[in-house]
Amino acid sequence: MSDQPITRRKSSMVSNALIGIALLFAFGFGVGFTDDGWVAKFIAGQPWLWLAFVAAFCTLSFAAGAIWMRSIDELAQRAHYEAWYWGGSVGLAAMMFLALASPTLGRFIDFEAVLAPVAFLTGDATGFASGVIASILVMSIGYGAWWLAFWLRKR
Amino acid sequence: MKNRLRVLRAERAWSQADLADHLGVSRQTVNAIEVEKYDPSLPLAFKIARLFALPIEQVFSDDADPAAKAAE
Amino acid sequence: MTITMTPQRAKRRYFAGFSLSMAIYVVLVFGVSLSIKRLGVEGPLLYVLAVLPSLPLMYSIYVMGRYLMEMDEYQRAMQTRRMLAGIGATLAVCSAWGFLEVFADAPRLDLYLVYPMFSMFWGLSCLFVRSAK
Repeated sequence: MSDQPITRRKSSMVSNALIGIALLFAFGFGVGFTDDGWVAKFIAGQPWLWLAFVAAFCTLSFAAGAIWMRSIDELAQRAHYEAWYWGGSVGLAAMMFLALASPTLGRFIDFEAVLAPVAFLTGDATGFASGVIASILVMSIGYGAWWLAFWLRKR
Repeated sequence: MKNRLRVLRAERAWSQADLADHLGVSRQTVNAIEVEKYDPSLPLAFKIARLFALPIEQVFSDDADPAAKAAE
Repeated sequence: MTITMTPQRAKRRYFAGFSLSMAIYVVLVFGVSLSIKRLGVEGPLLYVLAVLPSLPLMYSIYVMGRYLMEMDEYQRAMQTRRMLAGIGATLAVCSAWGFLEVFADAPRLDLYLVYPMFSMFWGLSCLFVRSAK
């Protein structure tokens, strides 16, 4: 690595560090997310620190993803771009439908009962947080499915 | 190592995957060479130069190359 | 007509060989475990049966080595570095654990877990080892 320009070495070290930190955070979340786990106590006890913590985690995750995106070849980048647009748009359309239709659908379908098996995921989250998580989930599923389909088509 | 792979590839409207197929290597290899993350071996460098019908020095240039220095 | 080795072909051969070894491994692990219990095997036959599940794992190691030889030069440079990182981490963890077992009564690490441990560290190193220079 000694003949490499210092700028390129630094950026790969930074990206490695970011990925490592994001992984540590994710691990900590997974370990701590029970009702009486350290995460719940942290959120209750130090709201501002928790906000800073979450902001840092989200920024680091985004940065790690950005550096990753730049490091892969053009075809792999295209896979991610296309999957994000098409899969994310389909997911967005589905969420738009749900948002507009749920009051009406709520007359026929008891959403609480349907979502009861996965209620533990959102816990005490408000309706707003649940909606945000649902949107992220649906768009991510669209993105993931499109990405897989892209590569299966390319074989 | 500085190289003109991207320019030469664009002249023929080849994607990285196309160039990789012509060379018999993977797309990641072509990308790594283009962004100067990897220096190809001599056999591969010759293969690349022959594919573009150019001498090697017109495809690759290291920092000690007087022509590259003169251009700066 | 000779068939040239392309990166796609090397990958297919690797996946085929690895899947085959894993399939045989699963069959043997369950089969050997069941037959030892049911048939009450003892003596030399017990040793032979006990070693059987490790044979497809040895084949998988050969498949990995063959893949390393058949892939193109850049991928070989990357994978070699990553495997080295995986080997280093495995050696470090096993050394530490061994001394913990001897001096600090740590729970025993079953040796057949060393291969999965190496696979895990190799996989993790793919995230961290991103440069071949």
